[in-house]
Amino acid sequence: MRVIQFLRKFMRDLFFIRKSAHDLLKEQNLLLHRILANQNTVLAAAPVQEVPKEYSAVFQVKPGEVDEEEMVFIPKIVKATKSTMSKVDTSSTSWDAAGVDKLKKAKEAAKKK
Amino acid sequence: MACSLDVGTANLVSARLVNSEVQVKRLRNCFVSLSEEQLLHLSKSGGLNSVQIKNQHYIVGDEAVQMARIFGAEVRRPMASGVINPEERDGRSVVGALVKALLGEPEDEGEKCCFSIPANPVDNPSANNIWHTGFFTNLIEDLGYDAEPVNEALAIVYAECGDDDHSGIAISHGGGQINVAASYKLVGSLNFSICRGGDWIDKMTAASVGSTVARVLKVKEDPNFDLQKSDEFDEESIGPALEAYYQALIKYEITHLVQQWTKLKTQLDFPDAIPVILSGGTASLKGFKEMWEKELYKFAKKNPLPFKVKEVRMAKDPLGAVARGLLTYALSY
Repeated sequence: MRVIQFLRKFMRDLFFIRKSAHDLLKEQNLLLHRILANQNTVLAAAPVQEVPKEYSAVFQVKPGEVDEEEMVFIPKIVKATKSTMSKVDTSSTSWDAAGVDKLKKAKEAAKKK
Repeated sequence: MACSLDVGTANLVSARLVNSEVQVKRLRNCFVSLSEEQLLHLSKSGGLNSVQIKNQHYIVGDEAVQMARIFGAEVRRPMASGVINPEERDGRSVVGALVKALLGEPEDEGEKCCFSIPANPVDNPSANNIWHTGFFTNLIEDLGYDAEPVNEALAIVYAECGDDDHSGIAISHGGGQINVAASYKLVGSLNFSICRGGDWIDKMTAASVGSTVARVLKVKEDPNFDLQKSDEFDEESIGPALEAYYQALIKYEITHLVQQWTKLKTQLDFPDAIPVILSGGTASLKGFKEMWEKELYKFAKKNPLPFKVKEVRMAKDPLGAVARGLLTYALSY
């Protein structure tokens, strides 16, 4: 045992290491704890005091109220290089023009209600 | 003026006023991929609807189904369950070419074009129509139109219920979905969709009798096939199986209609009896209306209906009703 202790001391003295690896690790951990504690203190002490004007609308939206339609990305479609449409099933029938007037009136009446 | 586009899983239908008449155009919303050699061979006979995307050649529309039968290929769909099919990237370009062929150039800049969108399904809460609506808005606006999305089933109310004070229950039976809307003078309204339609019937029938969807379609699209006399098409038991799945589908939609209505009962307390209007390609079969009435009667015997039914009737033009209603709406501004 004495031989081992002597060798350790000799090695430390030789490489100018005054502390054991265990002690060094302990110091490092302590230092890390201090840094983290300081960071949390800084974050907690700095809430948003005033919302900049350009973000006022954003801050009015509560969680779950984001307009889903605004969040959808619609990619541009690759247009067909060439297309031939010679057969399209086509038919013509009479048009009920009165149906448009009836719908106009119904829409106005529904608005009033 | 204005025009309209019914965006369906199985068919794309447009409507426009031409010389005081409604011109309705239809293209089947499907495609099949062919090699250049096959396409060259076929193009000699002429008259095929085809689309080329980069180096890939496709036959589109009604011919796609015929070609798929001949070449034993699978028919592909740009849409599934009433909305854009996320698994078909080229399908988006195909549907773009089909829409362009139906609508053409706008008559004047920013011409109004109302297009149909499905309601969100009640039997699949994870699905919604947001991406689908955005995709078709972009596509139609890109052609130079002022695009406006309108609920598919409500369009049937616009087309068919003018004489009923715009009150009624309209049901659009599509390939991918069934869309339901109830309206009382356009004030109180209910709309929802269910993720079952003609495609579901075809797949279930084919699986039940050990046949293919192509064979099922052949029976279903036979002008003599009648749901009330399905035994006459007993080959491979397809006829009776089709009848059974049609019954199951109708029962499913009536159950959901009553469920949804009951949830909103206080807002949907319609004082008068209202008509039920049946529409869509899946409803175009002979005997469909009679089967629907029977199923409603059977349901009402066991459970009280939360609404009074004046009559059950078919839309005057089951395939074009949505496009006509959309056109009426577009012209009512």
